[in-house]
Amino acid sequence: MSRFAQPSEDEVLVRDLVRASRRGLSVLPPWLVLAAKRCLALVLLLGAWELASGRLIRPFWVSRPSDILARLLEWALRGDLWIHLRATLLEMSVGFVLGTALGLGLGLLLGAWPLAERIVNPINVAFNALPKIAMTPVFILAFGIGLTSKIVLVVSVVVFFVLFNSITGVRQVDPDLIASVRIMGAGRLALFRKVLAPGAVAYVFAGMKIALRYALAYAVVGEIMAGNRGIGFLVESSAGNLDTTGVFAGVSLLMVCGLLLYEAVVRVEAFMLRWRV
Amino acid sequence: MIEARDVYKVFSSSGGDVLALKGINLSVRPSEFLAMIGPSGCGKSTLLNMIAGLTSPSRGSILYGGQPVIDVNRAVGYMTQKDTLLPWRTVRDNIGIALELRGLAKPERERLVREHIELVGLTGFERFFPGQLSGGMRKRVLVARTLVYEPETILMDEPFGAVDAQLKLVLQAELLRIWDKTKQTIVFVTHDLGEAIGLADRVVVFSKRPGQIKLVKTVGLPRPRDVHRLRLSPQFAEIYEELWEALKGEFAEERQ
Repeated sequence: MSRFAQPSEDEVLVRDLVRASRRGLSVLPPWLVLAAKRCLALVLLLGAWELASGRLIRPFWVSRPSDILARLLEWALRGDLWIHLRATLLEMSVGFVLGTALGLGLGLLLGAWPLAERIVNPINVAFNALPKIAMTPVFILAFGIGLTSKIVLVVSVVVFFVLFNSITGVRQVDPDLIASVRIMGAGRLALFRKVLAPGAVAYVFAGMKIALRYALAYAVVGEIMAGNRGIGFLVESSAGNLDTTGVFAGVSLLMVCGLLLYEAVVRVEAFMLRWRV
Repeated sequence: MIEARDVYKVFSSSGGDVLALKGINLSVRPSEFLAMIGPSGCGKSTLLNMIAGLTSPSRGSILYGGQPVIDVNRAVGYMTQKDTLLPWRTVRDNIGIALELRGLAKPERERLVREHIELVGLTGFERFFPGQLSGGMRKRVLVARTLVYEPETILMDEPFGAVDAQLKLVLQAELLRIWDKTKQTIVFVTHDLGEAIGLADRVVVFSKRPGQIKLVKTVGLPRPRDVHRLRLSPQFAEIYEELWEALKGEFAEERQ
């Protein structure tokens, strides 16, 4: 392990063994091979769609990949794409971040304070049971047809996923772990910071990953119900014109956004939980 | 220093009530190394939990430094049988946590942690997470974590139970070496009679459940001790014989 001395016999051996096990059969790095295989699968799927459209199924119902791509290109060149994409991403990301912060803060607090949790639990459960979609008209009346009403809608959905998971996350921390750190001298605050909060991380991320999907979905729902901006609006207005290609173009944008954001959260999670082996 | 006065403990669960301890009277002197031995489920660990303030007697009381123990007892360092390392902290950060809680400056903290990592033979594993270590290695991290902040009293519940026989001797010797310097009070629960005699000033033999004190034996062996050589001495054999005689009965009845 020393950096200055000559590597010992064992260190050379370890290096060689690690290299040999990493090499495998291919000269290419494994992640590149996997990426190539995934691309191939995607191309095959899109190819099948392209061929089926117009031959097996009428393009009116399923459009076709080449048309969708052309439409996306057209939107991008006309500049609409960025305006709508920006609106949707803004609503969902601001809503997601605010909702997560709120749910996390409240959840960790209630998790660490069982008496308060028992008191407000029925309220939490009731509000969670309330279908947020039914609240959308209220949010629109209160906050207008702009971004704010959609952000509020997204927050109202995200907050509960993170809230309940944070409470559970704190609760499931091993009592023996808590006792051992208390004996070593931890007060309430130190216990919270060093044991309860880090111990809840896995549960918080599980909640966040579910919440992320809903954040995107509800931002779009809000746009479909009212407004003149966002991917949801694009999809809705395309559907109004019986323009399947426009609908699929919008939907595929949402899919890609959802995928990328999910991947980002998974990366952060993997880093935060790197101690899990 | 530590005193148990007529302590009883009943555990209630849906399965029924169990009497774990029955009329325990015991006092531990300052700087004493006391070992407790007895069959599984005889209440030894419960007694440690009470000294640590994690559970309270159903009747009677536990005094620490003359004061009844009513809340978590911060004067003790407790190495439980169960692995209570924080899985999200590296070896280094696990060992340093008590110093961190005491607000020790970073350089001082790092120095002490490094010393203790060396002490338990884990140099090179500082940045490993508990999940990446073997069971024996985790035990050694726990030992280091308990010793590093020099609590007034150390409670150890089968600390070397999962460690192989050879390493066990090394760690015992290390514990004695440290204790000779620091002279902390140690209450040590074990299943290993040889270990109890080799380490302790006094050995307390518990009966099977409901746990009662069957015998308290003062081990007169001179210090400093060589835990390995000691086992070959006739006095050791004599004490072993006497304690085994007392202990044997508890196991024999259990088998019937």
